[in-house]
This record gives sequence, C-alpha cells and structure tokens, in this order.
Amino acid sequence: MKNKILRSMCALLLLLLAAMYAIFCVVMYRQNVSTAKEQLRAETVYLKEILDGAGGSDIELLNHLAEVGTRVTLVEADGDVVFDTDGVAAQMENHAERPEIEAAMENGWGEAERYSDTFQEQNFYYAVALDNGQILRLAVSTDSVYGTLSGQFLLAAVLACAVFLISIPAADRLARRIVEPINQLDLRNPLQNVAYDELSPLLTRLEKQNRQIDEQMEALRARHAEFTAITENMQEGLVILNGHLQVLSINESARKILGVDRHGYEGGTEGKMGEKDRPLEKEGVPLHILNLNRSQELLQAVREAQSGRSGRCQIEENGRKYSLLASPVAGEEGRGGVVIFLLDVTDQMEAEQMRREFSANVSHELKTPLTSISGYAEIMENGMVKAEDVSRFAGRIHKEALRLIQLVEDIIQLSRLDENNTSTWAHESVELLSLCREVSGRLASQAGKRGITIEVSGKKETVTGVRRLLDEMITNLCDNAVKYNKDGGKVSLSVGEDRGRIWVSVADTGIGIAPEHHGRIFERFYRVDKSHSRETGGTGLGLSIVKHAAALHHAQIELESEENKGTRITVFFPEGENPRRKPQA
Amino acid sequence: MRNRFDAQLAQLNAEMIQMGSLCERAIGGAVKALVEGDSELAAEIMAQDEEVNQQEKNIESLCLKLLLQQQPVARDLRQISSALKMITDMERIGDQAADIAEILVMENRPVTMPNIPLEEMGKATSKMVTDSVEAYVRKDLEGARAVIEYDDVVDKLFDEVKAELINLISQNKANGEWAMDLLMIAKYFERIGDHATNIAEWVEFSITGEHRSEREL
Repeated sequence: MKNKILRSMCALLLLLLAAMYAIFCVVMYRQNVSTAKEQLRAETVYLKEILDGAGGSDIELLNHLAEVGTRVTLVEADGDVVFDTDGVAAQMENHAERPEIEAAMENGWGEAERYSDTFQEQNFYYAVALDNGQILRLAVSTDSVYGTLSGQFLLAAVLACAVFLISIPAADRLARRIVEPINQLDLRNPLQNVAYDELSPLLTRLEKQNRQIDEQMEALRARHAEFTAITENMQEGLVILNGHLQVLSINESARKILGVDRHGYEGGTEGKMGEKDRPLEKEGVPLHILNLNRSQELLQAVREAQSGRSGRCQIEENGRKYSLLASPVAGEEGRGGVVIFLLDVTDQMEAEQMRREFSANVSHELKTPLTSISGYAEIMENGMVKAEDVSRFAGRIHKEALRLIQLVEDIIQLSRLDENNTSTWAHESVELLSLCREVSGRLASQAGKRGITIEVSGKKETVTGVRRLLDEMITNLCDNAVKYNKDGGKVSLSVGEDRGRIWVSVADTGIGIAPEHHGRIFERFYRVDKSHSRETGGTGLGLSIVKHAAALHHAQIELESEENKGTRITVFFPEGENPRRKPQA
Repeated sequence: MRNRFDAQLAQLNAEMIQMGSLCERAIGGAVKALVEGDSELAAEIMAQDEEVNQQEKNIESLCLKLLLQQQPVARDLRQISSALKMITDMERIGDQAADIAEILVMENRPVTMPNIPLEEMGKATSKMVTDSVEAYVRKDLEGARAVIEYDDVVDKLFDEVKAELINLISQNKANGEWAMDLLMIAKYFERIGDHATNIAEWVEFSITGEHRSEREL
C-alpha cells in the first residue's frame, strides 16, 4: 500500500512537472513573439521616418544598420531588391510576390510570418511603403515553440531533479503516515480507534466476526470440558483405539481398570479425551491394546468392531469381571478405529448368581410340601384310607399347608426387606426387654413340650426401630434356639448395653454350629443339617430374615458357637440408637 | 522410511503379544482340562494349536521381511532376532499343551486322582508362561529374571511327581499305563517350563543385549 501511494505520487509529480514545463514554454513563446513583433513594427516606423527624412534611400545608413542585427530589405516598387543586409541585393529574386510586400504596396504596410524548418526559427516580416514608393521591410527571427522547449530543457531537468529529491522523502513520509494507522490497528479490538471512516464498515465486520469466533471457541471449549468431565468422572472405562489398535485416548476409570499407569505409559491425551492424534507410548513404542489385556476374547471383540460390527466379551482384571463393548468408529483409511466401553459387572453377576440360586431353592422348598400334600390327598381320594385315619392324614396335609404358608410369608417378608426402602417401615421407639418377654411367652408352650426353659434377663433398653421386624428377628432367633436345642435345655434372652451400644442376645445350650458353617448360615435356604431340618420344620429363611432386619436397623450380628455346647447370637445396635445418649432426644 | 519401520516394529510387538496370549490360553486350558477332567476342553485345545502354528509363520515372515528390507541394527536388530527365537519356544509350548490335551482326551483315568502334585505343577508352569509373556509385554527385566529363577520350582515338582508315580506303580502294577500318561504330562509341563525360561532369557537379551548362554561361556 505504501509503495503504491509512493508510486502514484511520483507519477503525479512527473506529470505535473511536464505539464507545467510545457505550459510555461508556450506562454513564454507567445510573449516573446508578440514583443518581437511590437519592436519590429516600431523599428520599421522609425526607419521609415529616417529614410523619408533623408529623402530617399540612404544605402550607407542601411549598411550601418546591418551591423545591429535586424535584417533590413529595401525593395523597389516593381519588386526588385535594392538592398538587403544579409545578402547581395542583385542576386536576390523579385520580392513583389511576397505577401507582406504586396500588402505594403497596396495599403502602405503589411506583415507576414514564416517558419524556417532549417533553422527551427520563426521569421516575422513587416513592410511599409516609403514616400518615394520603395518598400522598406524589416525582419526578425525568434525561436519556434520547439526551440523554446528544447532550449530550456536542461534547466527544466535540473529543476525536476531538485523537486524529486525533495518530494520523494516527503511523499514517503506521507505514505507512511497514511498507512501507519492501518498497520497499528488492533485486530482483536478493531473498533477501539478507527483512524479512517472508510475502514469502519470493514472493521465493524471484523469485530463481529471476532466475536463470533470467540463465542464459537468458547462453546467448543465448554463442550470439550464437559466431555472431559463426563469421561473422566464416569465409572465405566472408555478407550479409543486407532486403526492399528493402539490406544489414542483412555479415561481415568479405564486407566485404573487396565492398569495403564502400572505399565508406565505416557503421552496420549491425559485428561483430554477426544483429541485423536498420537497414541500413548513408552520409549517410543506405542501402546497396543494387547499390552493392556491380551485375552483372545478381547482381541476377537476388537477385530469384530474393526470389521464394522460391534463386539462384546467379558474380561477379568484384578479379580473383577468387566463386560466389554467394542464399537466401530468410521476411519478415513480402510481400517477404522474402535471405541471400547468397560462396565464393571462383578456385583451384577454375583447378584444374578444369588438370584438364580434363590429361585432354584424357592421352587425346591415350595415343591416339597406340595408333593406331600398331593401324595396324602391322592391316597385319600383313592379311598385307601380308613375312616379313623382320615383325620391323621388331614392333619398331615394341614401341617404341610401351614408350612407352605409360612414359607410364602417368609419369602414375602424377605422380598420386602430386599427392596431396602426404609420409608416403607414405620420407625418407633421399641423397648427390647418387654419385647423379649412377649416372645418368650409366645414360645413357652412349644419349648415346654421338650422341657426347654426360656429365661429373660437384663435391663430395659429402648431403640428406635420397626417393632414388627424386631419382634420377628427375636422370634426367629429364639425359635431356632428352641428347635436346635437338646431336650431339657435352656434358652436365655438378654438385653444390655455396652459402650453406648444396645444389644440383644439369644443363647442356647443346643447342638451348636460347626465352624465351617458359620459364614453361611445367614444365606437363604442354607441348612447345616439337611436331613435334620425337615423334622424340625422351618423354612431355612429365618436367619436370612434376621440378617436383613438387622441390616435395616444398621445393627451388627455376632455369632459364637461351639458344637454340642450351644450357640449365642448377639445383635448390636449402632451407638446413636440409645435415646438417652442422644443430645436432644 | 523410519516411520514405516517403527510401525512395522509396533506390529511385530502386537503379533508377539498375541502369540504369547495364544500360548497362555493353550497351557491354561490344558491345566484346566487336567484339573476338571474336561475332555471337551482338551479337544478344543488340540484344535487351537493350529492357530499358534499359523501365528508363528506370520511372525516369522514379518521378521524376515524386516531383516531384509530394513537391515536393522542395534536394539531393533535385537528385538527382531529375539522375536525370531521366542516364537520357536512359543510354538513348542503350544505343541506341548496340545500333546497334554491329546493324552487327556484319550485317557480313561480312574475317578480319584492319586495324591500327586501334578495340578500344582501345571499351575506353576502356566504361571511361568504367563509371567514370561507378561515380562515381554512390559519389557520387565526383573519379571524375566523371576521366571528364570522359578524354573527350579517346576523342576523340583517334576522330581516329586516322578517319585510319587514310581511309588504308585510299585503299589499296583495295574496303574502302570495310567501312571506313564501322567509322567508324560509332567514331562511336558517340565519342558514347557524350560521353554518359558528360554522366552524369559530372550526378553532379557532384547533389553540388555546380553544373553545368558554367552555369559556362561
């Protein structure tokens, strides 16, 4: 821009100089010519007066004049040249035809101008008729226009050079001054100082676009941050592989699951999911997915994804099971990348396993009494039962039906507990000692048949809880203590407090539980002695209900047992359960 | 040029891991088939041996191509040459796992296993293979050396198994054929342990540039 301004200015200057020069020369020329003509006329008139005064042509005088420089010609009335300062008169042609002489002969004066190409001169002629009839002609020559032009050219050139020398730096400075504000423009804030109004539409637009770009960048950054936050904080592992199955990007969970940090890999896009350039590497060797887990199932799933379908498999890392989902990502060249999603399914699978076992057990437990009922009923139907035995058979059926009812009730109770929704249970203050007395009262007759005594001891303690569940819990424990007791044994229920924790304990003098069963007796349908339990009845769900009820009250269960000596189960309620110790209860 | 070479080396690495993984699967499966008496699994392992062989051929041709086309030196040369040696051992591991499987398919063994530490030996061998592959994957010098040390455990177990089997035959000659089968399995395990040791030695070589056999000479 600066150069362009400079060039234009120089061209303009040159043009101006040339034009000035031309105009100047023409004006000068015209002035010269008119001055010369005036002088010529005056001279001619003077000379005429002199010659007329002298009474005819005075050749001597004229010869004298010749030295002055003006050309003087004297012509006879018939046109013959009498005298000429420049040449020999006799040799000159007849001048009668010359326009100025012709005019002088007719009017007394005449003038003409002629141009001499040879000398690049302009000649002016002025002629007057003398009193004696002769014609006096004077001539003067001036430079032609071109003559003037070329005559002054050197001076003009010197002047032009001088002008250029002065004006080029000036023009340069000017150009700089014009351009400076444009160079100085703050493109981030174009509207801050607008130097030229002409630029403001452009700058306004620039400002608008700047703002748009900023907004879009901000939006992008926000989206990226959001994406990173999601991927880095999610529990599931996310790994992105390129076409060579090298790890491009891996989130925090996947790092932990697959143990990337343990392998010492660096680079990639730590905390920056989504930037897909270079894979993670260690000492220049890119991290291949097989470096993290080389199970064939994973490779197969990933290959599947590469061929455009999504692959699934299960892998195990550090004893936990993960479900792996590999999905294809369209790539530019041939082999596309793969996105791997890792989901921890350990708990899910364990739960599944438990559910499967539970339903198998339930169906079995439900089937046993039903088989008996159906068997007895069939025998009676066929009339194979004597009249006096009918009541015995009906009694059996009744007993089994009761067992079924009990079982279904227990299952319902368990499934309600499974929901683990505390709001379905109404919490209230429950006094444990009197609750124990109630339970012992209920079970006294059953125990009495086998000569078992139930004792209740301890002090009054109150907990906040669900009365029905606590009742059921103590009943179940006490029922077990009676069932698995020896005839004539003893069951003691006691309530107490230990370092702020209220406890209820049920102890018996029964058959006890062998140590290898301790871990499992709270499982659903678990029976220590499968043949024995049939006789004693029970559903196998009692202790499971106890466990769930305790969990609902955040209570802990402790089991002490020795074979053939007895069992003591103690339920410890959490510290806050003691209302007397509560700050403002 | 170098970029392409690097990519090929990375591919070689991936293929090696894959082959190691195939070996792990074979030996792990063989041990499982032995423990659980699962002859279906054993048959499957025999079938899968072909994959190991195929993978050996792939890696071999890749290595030769790299040697011819890239003329590697120093560490790259070590990596490629040790890969060439390792695949031989891996292929043998695959074969011997398949051999064990073959015995398990044919064998009609008694229901009760005699009290010999064959399972333990199988698990120890399987661990050696896994650890040697793991050492390769992680370029773990310590891990490789641990595998080499661990071979003594497997050798000792082999001696125990042998002694127990001699005992078994001397008690009842009818056990002879079956005891021989078990001895073969034990020997295969022992050989697999040696191959795992070799792999670990090559891992050591590819890292340090020094092979045990050279040092001992």
